[in-house]
Amino acid sequence: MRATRLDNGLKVLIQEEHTAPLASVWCWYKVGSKDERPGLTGVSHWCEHMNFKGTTNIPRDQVKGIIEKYGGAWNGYTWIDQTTYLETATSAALDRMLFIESERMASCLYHPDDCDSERTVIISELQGGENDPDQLLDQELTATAFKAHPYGHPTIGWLPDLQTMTRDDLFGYYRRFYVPNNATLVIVGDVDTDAALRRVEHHFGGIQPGPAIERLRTVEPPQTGERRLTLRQEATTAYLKAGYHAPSATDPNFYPLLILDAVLTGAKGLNLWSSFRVPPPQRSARLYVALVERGLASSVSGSLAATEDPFLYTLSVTVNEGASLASAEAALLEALADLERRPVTEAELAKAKAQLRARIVFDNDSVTNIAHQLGYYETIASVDLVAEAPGRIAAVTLEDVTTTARTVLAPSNRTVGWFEPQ
Amino acid sequence: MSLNPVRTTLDNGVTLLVKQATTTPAVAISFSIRAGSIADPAGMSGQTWLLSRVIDRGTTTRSAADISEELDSRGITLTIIVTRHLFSIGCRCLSEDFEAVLTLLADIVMSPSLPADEIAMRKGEIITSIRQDDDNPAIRASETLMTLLYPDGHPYGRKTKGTIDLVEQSSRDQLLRLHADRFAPSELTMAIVGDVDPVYAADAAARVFADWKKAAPPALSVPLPVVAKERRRVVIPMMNKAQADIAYGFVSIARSDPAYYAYWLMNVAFGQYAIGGRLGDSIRERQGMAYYVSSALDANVARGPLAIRAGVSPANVDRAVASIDEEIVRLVREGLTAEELDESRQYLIGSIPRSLETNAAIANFLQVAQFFGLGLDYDVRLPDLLRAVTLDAVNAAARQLLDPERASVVIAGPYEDQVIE
Repeated sequence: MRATRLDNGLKVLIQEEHTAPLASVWCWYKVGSKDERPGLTGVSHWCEHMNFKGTTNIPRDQVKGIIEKYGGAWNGYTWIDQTTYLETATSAALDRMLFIESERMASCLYHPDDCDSERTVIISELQGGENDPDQLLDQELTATAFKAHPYGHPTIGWLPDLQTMTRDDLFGYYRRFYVPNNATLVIVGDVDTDAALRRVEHHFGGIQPGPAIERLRTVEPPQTGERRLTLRQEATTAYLKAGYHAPSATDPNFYPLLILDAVLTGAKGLNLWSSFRVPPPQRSARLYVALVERGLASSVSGSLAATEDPFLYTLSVTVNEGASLASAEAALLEALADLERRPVTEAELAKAKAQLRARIVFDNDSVTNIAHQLGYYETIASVDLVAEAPGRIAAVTLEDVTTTARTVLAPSNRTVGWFEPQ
Repeated sequence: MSLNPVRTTLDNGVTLLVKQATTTPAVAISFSIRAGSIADPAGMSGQTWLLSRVIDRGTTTRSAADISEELDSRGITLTIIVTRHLFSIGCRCLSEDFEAVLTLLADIVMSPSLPADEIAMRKGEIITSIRQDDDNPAIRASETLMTLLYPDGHPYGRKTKGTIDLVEQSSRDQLLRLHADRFAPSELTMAIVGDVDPVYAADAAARVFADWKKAAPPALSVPLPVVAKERRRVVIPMMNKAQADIAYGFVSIARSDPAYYAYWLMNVAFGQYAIGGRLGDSIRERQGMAYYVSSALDANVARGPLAIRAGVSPANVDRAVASIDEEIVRLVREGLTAEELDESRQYLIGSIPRSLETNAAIANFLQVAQFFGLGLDYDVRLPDLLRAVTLDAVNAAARQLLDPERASVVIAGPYEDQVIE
């Protein structure tokens, strides 16, 4: 992998992979919902939508099929720390992909009619999410766990903000954050590094850098006591969540918590783009045994993502028909408290590490997935974390896990959420 | 670059497809048994689904805990899927674990013990899952569309998970019988794709299945679906929800129909190409009504559905349905343009390398090709099959299939009928 930086500040990461005649191009921006001030929640995600709607040199009516004509696919996502766009297509289309991303960085149109039309699309996306009680509970739990840090609001935004945001809000935000000195371009695939770099220079070299971006600097104060919320709605199924403030990607406690999560709910791996597509190996995991194998839940899962600032480690339970939220919560908390009496064993540690080793191999099975990892880690911390992760996982000791469990899973650090069907 | 897989048939009749790929030190293993939900006994839908939840929870030589440990210690998750025609078990494993995992999967397929306590536990999970589906407008709309298109107990119209009553009534003996009746070497196709020597893989497969001898079960047949002659509309009010889901469809064609490639291209241009084809253009891009709208063609052994799905605000339901009607009328009246057809064709041909990048994707492709008898060189022939489709054939497919007057339409969500159609 070669890392370089253009004069305008654009970081470029290129990795040759010659196993298939494909290339994946991702352009990452350090802007996500944590950069949004009150009143503008959801603006990062809305900008992502607008950045698929034509540019100075890609007229609106030529957007459709711009990469599909080459057998390619494109997409994008926005989350708390980042916004990213990708194309994966035959490597012969590399120049096309770079052209699209350079246009997206500098020349999107934000036509007022398109802004209005996209408002209802995004509200539809929000309402589709709210149809799912589990997702609704997750949103409300996160908002309850954070009282200061902007990680507390949902990436899609709050409905009143989506109803009132203007085209100027969107365009101003776009111009502020979509500059080469706030971006990382990643190319992985059947390419020649030197030749690819020349094409990057051709497409991006002329884009002017923007002023240095001043970030919101809110630090979430330590949580000093348990928080609880209960949603009651007409529904069929009960859901339970417990969220704990968790270490950031660069905190030494991150990898011990990753191991602890594997012991509790099975290892997911480290790739947000691909890991969720295959459920974790978890039948012998502690919380699966404590909840699912006792008939209290039909599923249990843990969620820990590598993030720039401390986010949440969230445990989610779908309560079985006939079981109660209270009994599921009691079993969950009892299993977590049991870590004191019955600490993680050598065998569990070895199993967790073996799971993570396998999942990291599985997660690198395509140029798209490999490119995601390089850009993701460079955006939230450093691309070096990708290569370092296996070593850091291998180095975790039982003592690390015990210490982290004690700190993170402390009752005063948790927010418990119930979704109670009416 | 062609896949060029190696196909062998073991002495007992198991079909084996192997493709070596060294991208990662891992292997995808996929077993497909011709024992999908159409094998459910009459009046007992959901049995195959229940079998799929419990088949990997113990064998005659391994306890459920043994299996859990074997999987978890290697970072493996089994994916077990029941479709109308196939019961599939698959996973990814590290190359070093290949033979051990193959042995385990073979044991699960040949000799499940189906312990009573496991059946009871998994029944509870399925019932919870059925209750979750009951609260999900997208699932309610899609399932109801299938019962409209395939009425009177047709196997394509049944709920794969069954009903809560049927799940509760299912017995261990019934599951054992279902397994004994339908799981046989002749019904199994294995695809092994990844960093494994093909000769070694074939030897390993022959070893693990050496003692499995059973006669081929009688073939299952699917009745011809009856095609609707008039429009039907069902509204499922779910006033606790924020958004409504629309499912709108027709009975299309069988996979073996010579017109399949024309239908496929028609569907891509109509409801898939570049975020939803013409439907996406109209409903999402121009009118801003939906986050998702697309159509899917599921040509199967019997005539499968073409289903259009969209999620819209309750205020926009009528306008969205009218827009689907309009796009259909326009397509039937004016046809696609030559340019639209070429774009969709280029897209499908150009996507082939991308869709065959990972071991799991290749294994799935080989399974589909084997199931529908498309040949070992299907990946090589596919571009020409698509190039041979004419604009006339695509437009004839649209005229043949699409007609708002014969559409089945389901709306589920915070919406109640205002107007009787």
